[in-house]
Amino acid sequence: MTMRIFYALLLTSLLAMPVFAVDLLTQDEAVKRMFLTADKVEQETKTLTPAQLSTLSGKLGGKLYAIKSTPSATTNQYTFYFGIKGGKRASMAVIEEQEDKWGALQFIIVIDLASKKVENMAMMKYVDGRARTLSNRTFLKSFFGKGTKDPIVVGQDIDGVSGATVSSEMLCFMVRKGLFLHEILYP
Amino acid sequence: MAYQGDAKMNTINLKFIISAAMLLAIGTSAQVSVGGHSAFSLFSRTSGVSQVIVDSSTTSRTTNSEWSGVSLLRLIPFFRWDVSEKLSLDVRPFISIDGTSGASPQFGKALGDEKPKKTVLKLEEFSRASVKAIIGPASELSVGYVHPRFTWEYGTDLFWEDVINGSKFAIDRWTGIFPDAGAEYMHNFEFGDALSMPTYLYLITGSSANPSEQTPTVMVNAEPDFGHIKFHIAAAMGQWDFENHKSMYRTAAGISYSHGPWAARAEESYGWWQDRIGNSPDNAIAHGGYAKVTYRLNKTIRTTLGGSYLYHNFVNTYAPMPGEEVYVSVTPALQIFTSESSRIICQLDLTNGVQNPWSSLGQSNVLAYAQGTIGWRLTF
Repeated sequence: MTMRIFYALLLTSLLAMPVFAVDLLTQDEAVKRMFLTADKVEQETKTLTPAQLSTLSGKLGGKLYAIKSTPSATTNQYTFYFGIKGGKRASMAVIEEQEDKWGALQFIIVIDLASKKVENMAMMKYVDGRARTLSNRTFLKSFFGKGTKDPIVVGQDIDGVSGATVSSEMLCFMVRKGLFLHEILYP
Repeated sequence: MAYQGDAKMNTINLKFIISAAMLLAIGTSAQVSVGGHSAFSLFSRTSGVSQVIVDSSTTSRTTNSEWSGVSLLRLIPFFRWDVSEKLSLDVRPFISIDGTSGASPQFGKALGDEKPKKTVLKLEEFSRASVKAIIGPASELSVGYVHPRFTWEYGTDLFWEDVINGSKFAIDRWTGIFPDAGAEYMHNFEFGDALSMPTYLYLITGSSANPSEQTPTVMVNAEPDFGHIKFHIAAAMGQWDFENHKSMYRTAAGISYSHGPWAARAEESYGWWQDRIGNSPDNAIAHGGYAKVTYRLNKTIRTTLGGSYLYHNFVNTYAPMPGEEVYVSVTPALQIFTSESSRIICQLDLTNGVQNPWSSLGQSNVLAYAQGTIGWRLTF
């Protein structure tokens, strides 16, 4: 009896799945989702000069990584995605990955080019189960509208997720890094 | 008894197989990540009163104290093997070491009497040992030891964030803990930016900690998240006996709030087990709850004040017998973050407990104690 109830509920949930979905994405899926209303998407890869890397590190408190130094966190090469509307670049996205003791956390961060503030975000990868809550839109919206002038710090303008404090702080770092990358490379 | 013995053997074999498979994976694959959590008690002291009341004129009262020095309380090594982009294997054995630290006072015994007389390393259970498949952008399926989110406090290990020793409510198998072997299906329902609702569906068939809990249970858990305010609702039903004749149900509900440096959380759970009490036709009932408030002074210091209660309409956790017991605790705590992965936790538990076994003697047991612990939690 209980098995039947379980499978009935499982089937119901699977059928409901396509209606609600914004999570755990590959690179192509993430870019597509972030620029749903764009006419087209352009891609551009840029390499930071040693001076730009030093400036970025300085703005982030002296390091390019939040917790663990990894090749993806300290790279000097970034790919940016631009949503084109009416022939103009309207928004820009960058994929940022940082690691803590448990593994990688990866997000796509979209910046509105007119206001230079965070417009949208989505979680692409996580490892520790407690970090899963970071993908909730109700949490991510607390980053929307933030710019380089905002602290973007847990306990100040961002409420950390209980049980995922370190991951929340790591995400704050990733958002600050995304904003500063844009400021340095597209002044 | 033979059945339970076989079940225990199967559980031990399963634990061995999982551990061996993980070691094999580590040896043969570069895709394995290794880390873990550990909790040490740096100093612990318990003092208070343990009282046995036989009748109004016959009372045995023992005032006592005991202390312990540095000891490893628990170790949770973490192994993750990324089999593919959408499939991973997580193994987190929960290892405890008895005999090196102070233990929680027990009814009918002088404080310190319950302290183990020798050091024993034990593989208690699995914090998680499961295969996880990403089956959609917002959906996951895990099979194995899945550590259900029946309560936030135990199911998501949130008590770890605030204290070094979990409250009676959090670590009680009738209120905070839920059997962990089975399947977990999760889907995160999103309603714009206003509401996120991760929803979990479980089919539980056993427990890594207790081989006698091999019974089918279905649980639904929903966590509506409105941003600053989150809710948690869980409902479970199934059978508790090996013949699948006797019913049980459990429910839990919780609310949490966070804004700026403040965070507050409260949960309540209730459970009912048909004919579960030995030597009696009575149904077993257990309920409990807690509330806590946390204030973050700065990046490195947090303070927490919590209170909890626990009620059973029986005594003896592993083989319930007629009686009644109640615990009430108040727990102030201080957490000092020495780095992203290390924190010192100072905790004081002020606990009162009353136990009324319906024995022929009709005696009551009373406990009133203060347990202070300075602990260190390290993620490596």
